[in-house]
Amino acid sequence: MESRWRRAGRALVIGLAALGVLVLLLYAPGAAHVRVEEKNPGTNLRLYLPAVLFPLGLKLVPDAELARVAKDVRRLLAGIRIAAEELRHCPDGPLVLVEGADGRVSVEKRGGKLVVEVEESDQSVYVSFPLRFVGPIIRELEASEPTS
Amino acid sequence: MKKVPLVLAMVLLAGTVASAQTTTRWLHVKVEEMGERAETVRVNIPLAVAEKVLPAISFDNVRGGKLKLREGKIILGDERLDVDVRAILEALRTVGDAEFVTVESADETVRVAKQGGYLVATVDERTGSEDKVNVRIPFAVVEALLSGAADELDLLAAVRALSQHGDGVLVTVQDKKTNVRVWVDSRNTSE
Repeated sequence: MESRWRRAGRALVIGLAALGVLVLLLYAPGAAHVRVEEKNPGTNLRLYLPAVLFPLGLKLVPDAELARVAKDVRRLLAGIRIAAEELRHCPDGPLVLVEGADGRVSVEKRGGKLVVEVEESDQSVYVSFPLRFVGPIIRELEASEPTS
Repeated sequence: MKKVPLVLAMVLLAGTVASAQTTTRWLHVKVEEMGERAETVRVNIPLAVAEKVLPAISFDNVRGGKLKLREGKIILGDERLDVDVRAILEALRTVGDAEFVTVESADETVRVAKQGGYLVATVDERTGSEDKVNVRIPFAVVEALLSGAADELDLLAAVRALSQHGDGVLVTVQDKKTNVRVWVDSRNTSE
């Protein structure tokens, strides 16, 4: 009986260690952070997702759907990919800042991430995404383009 | 052992030179709308990024970092600049450091000149609208624009020339409701 508990404990430790390593492997390359907060009582959303899953996730999207999305933004894809790759080598700093009576929108390069913040009277949105994963995502979209 | 400080000094010097050469230069645009719906837009673009992205942009008459002219004119979508830009720039290239073109009308005075290595253009409205446009572009950038074929402007070469030039304001536009400022420097923030 004792040895069975010991074996179960050992399996639990190994399982937790494997889970820890998996989480580390998934999150170490970088994570996408999404936060939406409504100022009046309402929906609050917080997501912290491994960025490495995004290019992999795109592989699960049906080709036709991906090609449709790519077609709409085809002209911009190469430019976005190159901009993201080049921005990685640039120092941190604000790229776009719009301030007005309705609120504030900022796009900033911060620590290898592209950070978008929107502040409005009724809600605030924060999105950060590692720049190094923009390239692989765009490449997936580019690859999905119909050749005709 | 006496060589160690010398080597260290050389390494430090090399590092300083390298860091100076890799200083990122930024193109800044600031648009201030005044009045009831006051709004400020600031855009800061590293010139290195613009340099890499431009060849990938393809729309209307812009391809491979070059702007194709139609009978010497710039046409982008519905926008059309009805002057032979290349002819004016070519003409400016051949003249000396003096005032070149001044067009005066009842509404405005347009002045294009080559001054101290810069292309300087000003538009002053005179009908009480207070609109003022000032353009001051290093002539090296103008030369770079003209470095391509006769029916195009080489935007990519111009950006490269701009990134090698010193800090400075390129364009200012002022009217009652809007202030626009475009400039280049080594700071990653507008102000």
